[in-house]
Amino acid sequence: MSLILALYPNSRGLGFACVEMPSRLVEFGIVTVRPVNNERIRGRIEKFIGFFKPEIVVIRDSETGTPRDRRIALLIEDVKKLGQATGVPVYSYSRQQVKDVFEVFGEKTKYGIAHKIIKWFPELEDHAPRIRRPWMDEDYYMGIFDALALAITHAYLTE
Amino acid sequence: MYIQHNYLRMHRKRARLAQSDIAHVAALSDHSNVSRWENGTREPNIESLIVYHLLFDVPIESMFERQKQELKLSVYRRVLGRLETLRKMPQDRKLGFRIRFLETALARLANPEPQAL
Repeated sequence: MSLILALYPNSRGLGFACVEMPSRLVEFGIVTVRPVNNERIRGRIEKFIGFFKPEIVVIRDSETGTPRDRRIALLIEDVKKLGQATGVPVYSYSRQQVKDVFEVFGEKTKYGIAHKIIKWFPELEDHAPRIRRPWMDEDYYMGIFDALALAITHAYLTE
Repeated sequence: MYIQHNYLRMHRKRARLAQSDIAHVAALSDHSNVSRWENGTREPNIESLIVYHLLFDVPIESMFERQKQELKLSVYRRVLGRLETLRKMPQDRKLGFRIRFLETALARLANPEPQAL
């Protein structure tokens, strides 16, 4: 039974999920930081690692392009350094890898993946995202599903 | 300060209860203590633990698995130490019972337990 801390930095701050594989969702949530600031998010991640003492940290892979991507890329680098300092292995997976894994389960959209995850973890039903229309913001709780999708991707690809 | 992860929040969230629900059931005036227990900044008292056990129908130890594992290791070492001391003492019937009990406990502690889901 391995404890995985999955982190998904996004525009609001951070979505996180702590899972005991194969099927126990220990903790999940969204960290909102306003104005968004890598230093404060990093502080929260440090606290999570100290509190949950995970065996593995899984984080999204960095992309390059917009200023937000560059900020997140810096944060991901910080988390990798933090993992080295604390002795916790950090794995990162790209959006494409997550999509590839969930395609096996018949889902490839964020919405589809979120609802597939709800089937596995019914306690997340209250946070189920609505279908996103072009004029709508991303659902507030989507970060939780993104983080969990990373944890599931890690479990799938390493087993 | 006591900061260690526990499974109180997991059980509450699985049941989709609010901290205020737990506070009411545990006869607390507000939910701040529930938050502190879940964050590991305060230890719940015996009564509250029994409330959790009755409410969620799970053994108390399952809410503190990590603490249990750590304690199990230290209890194992202490039992081993005690056994060594007892074996050096002049043997009689009563001492024999104590040694046998501690040996049984040691064997039980050495066995890994099946993990609860």
